[in-house]
Amino acid sequence: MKHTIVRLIPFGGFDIPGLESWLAECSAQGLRFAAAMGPIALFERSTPLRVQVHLEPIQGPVAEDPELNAIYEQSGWQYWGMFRGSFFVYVSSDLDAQAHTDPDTLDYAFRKFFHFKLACGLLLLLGNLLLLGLYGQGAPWEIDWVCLRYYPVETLSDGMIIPFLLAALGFFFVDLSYLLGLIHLLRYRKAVKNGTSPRGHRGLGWLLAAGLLLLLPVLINTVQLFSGLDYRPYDLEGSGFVTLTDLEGADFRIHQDPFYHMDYISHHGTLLNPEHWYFQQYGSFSANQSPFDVPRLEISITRYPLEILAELRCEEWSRQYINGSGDYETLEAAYGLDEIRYAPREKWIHTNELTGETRTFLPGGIFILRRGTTVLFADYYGEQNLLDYLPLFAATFDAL
Amino acid sequence: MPGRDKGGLTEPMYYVLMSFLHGEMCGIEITDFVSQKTAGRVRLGPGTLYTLLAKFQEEKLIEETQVDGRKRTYRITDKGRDAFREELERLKACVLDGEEELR
Repeated sequence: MKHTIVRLIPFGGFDIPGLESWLAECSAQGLRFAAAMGPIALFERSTPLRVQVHLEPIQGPVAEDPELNAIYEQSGWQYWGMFRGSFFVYVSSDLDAQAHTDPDTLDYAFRKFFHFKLACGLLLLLGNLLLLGLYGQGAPWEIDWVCLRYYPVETLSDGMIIPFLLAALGFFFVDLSYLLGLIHLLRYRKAVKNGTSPRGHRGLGWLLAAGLLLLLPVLINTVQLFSGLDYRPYDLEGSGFVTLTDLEGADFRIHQDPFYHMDYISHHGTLLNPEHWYFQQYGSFSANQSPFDVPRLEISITRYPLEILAELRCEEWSRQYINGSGDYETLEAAYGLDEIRYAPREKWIHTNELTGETRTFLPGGIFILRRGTTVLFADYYGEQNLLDYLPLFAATFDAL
Repeated sequence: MPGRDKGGLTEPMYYVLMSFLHGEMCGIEITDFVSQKTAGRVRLGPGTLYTLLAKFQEEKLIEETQVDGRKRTYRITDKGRDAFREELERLKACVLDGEEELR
């Protein structure tokens, strides 16, 4: 069984002298080149061989060319594989062997290869811009900087900003690596034309590797989004979520409109968008009432990748006063929860100064609960004391 | 003139195009022909031959006639023949000019 060895390519993809000397060095160390994909090259363990490596720019279809191999073999060269979609790799034990014997023809080959790669580079740039457009809402010019300043965890968890930043940085590294590669190719062409032997530029390969590493999570995130794997709702029944029925009693009438009565738990999340659950319920209301006149419950749960983010999010929630909610008090940890914050909401009556009509707003309260990396926010409007139901809310965490 | 960017054909270009005057040729036969014809003076590296075949095909000076396993056969086109004749005339004129000046 052949033993495959993986190495990061230290040179740029078009750095012909650098790559040729590196592959020759590898061969001298007993690593026979097999293939190259992205920033990595695959080698097979073999006896150390001192060889001359030649990279032949691919002129036509990106596929092994049996005729070309035969021509090379006739001249004592051996085909070892394809380097990305750019070069055929040939080696010769004759260190003075020449694959190209006509400088004008070689210059033609380089010019054609350069023009083709330049066109590919422009397409790559266009593709990058289109992909960035998918996460355009996360662009710096779209960000609400005030929100970012005061609610960084909430703002950065919107599923757009982090993918955009990672993609922008990743594409920058990849495109820069490509551009520098083209510049090196151009310089090499000129040097060969002038009869000089330029050296390779070690280090450029890392730029591509770093770029692809940044793009990998964005790619996974995008696949999750487009395959529909990001949204995974499930039935309310058996979900373990606290409902209005739990708070108001079995006789309480829930509104039957699907908008006001979710009979499912909205559940979504991707690699770069924290897992999130959402659920809301309203009591039944008549034609002359508004949804705000009846008991209602909203639960929002987010699981963050780090506990520190969950702690910060609790802080962020507790700075928000919603519809007359009071100050948050921190309660002693209980029921397996790490943090319990509670803000009561008093009943209040609003009188319209023009019409004299009065309107009564329901009391209630807000819970901000945290267990590890998961934060639960519950906003309740109704006559019940939310604190009595703390064990029920704590149990919701077990059901996630 | 087709087949060159500026000036005349280089020696490898000239001899590769010349090889097709004998009929259909594959890569290995071309290498052998050039080596024999020039008594080893003109060396045709495999990379050079590969590039020239692609270039001549692109410029429609030659065309592929048959693919048999690892062997791909080409023949010269009318355009290729004209290009060779034109180059030959240019070289003849060069030789005549030189000889005239030597007298």
